[in-house]
Amino acid sequence: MQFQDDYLAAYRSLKLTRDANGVLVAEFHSNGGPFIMTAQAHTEFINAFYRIAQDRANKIVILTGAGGGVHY
Amino acid sequence: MQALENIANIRVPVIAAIEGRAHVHSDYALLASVIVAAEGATFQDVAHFSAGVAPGDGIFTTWSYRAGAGRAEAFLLNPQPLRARTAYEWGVVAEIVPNGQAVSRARELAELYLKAPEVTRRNTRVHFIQPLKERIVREVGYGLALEGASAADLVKSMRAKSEPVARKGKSA
Repeated sequence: MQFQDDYLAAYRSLKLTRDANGVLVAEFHSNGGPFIMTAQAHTEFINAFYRIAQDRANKIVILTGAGGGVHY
Repeated sequence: MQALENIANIRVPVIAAIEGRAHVHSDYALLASVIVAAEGATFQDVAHFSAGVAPGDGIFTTWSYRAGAGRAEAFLLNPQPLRARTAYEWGVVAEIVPNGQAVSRARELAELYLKAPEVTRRNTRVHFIQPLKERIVREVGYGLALEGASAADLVKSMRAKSEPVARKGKSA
């Protein structure tokens, strides 16, 4: 069964990019800058990590933060 | 808790690349098999104890699993940031790299891991995360109940403080 990868561009606070080898980089951000936690972002993450886990095209997952930060 | 469970259910190697301030939800990063941190990176838990809320959402479970309960408790009670170097000494961080190179080092590691057969990669992750997953399921529900109760009490005390003096006088 082939899963759709439409979720890759679906999140405001999580930028997902995958290279040809299946290395998925999940970057937490707020408007492209350091990520600031919000309730909406939290809801997004629940969905995003579920979809990432389901998608067999993801071979390795790298978690990181834009602009060097994850904070309030 | 659901976000944590969903990260724990990622059945491929997970690497965290910490370039700067991991000051909220560093529990997400601690669900990675390997954490690469830049020299200047710091960890802190600004959303719980120092903000008046009990750290019950998985931050204690993950730190205590990786660093030991004593270090986790001191870290979560301490309002100061924890240097990447200290987290490395505690065994939480696997590698320290020069500033700006955390993601590129994570990509190098990814390339290395990709040399292993797919099922080996997947099953290694599943095996490594299993004891932490068990602890999350066992501990975080209760932790969240404690956190929620502390947050409700905080809100109550803040409301009491912001009540107009006149109203307080009437009720007295």
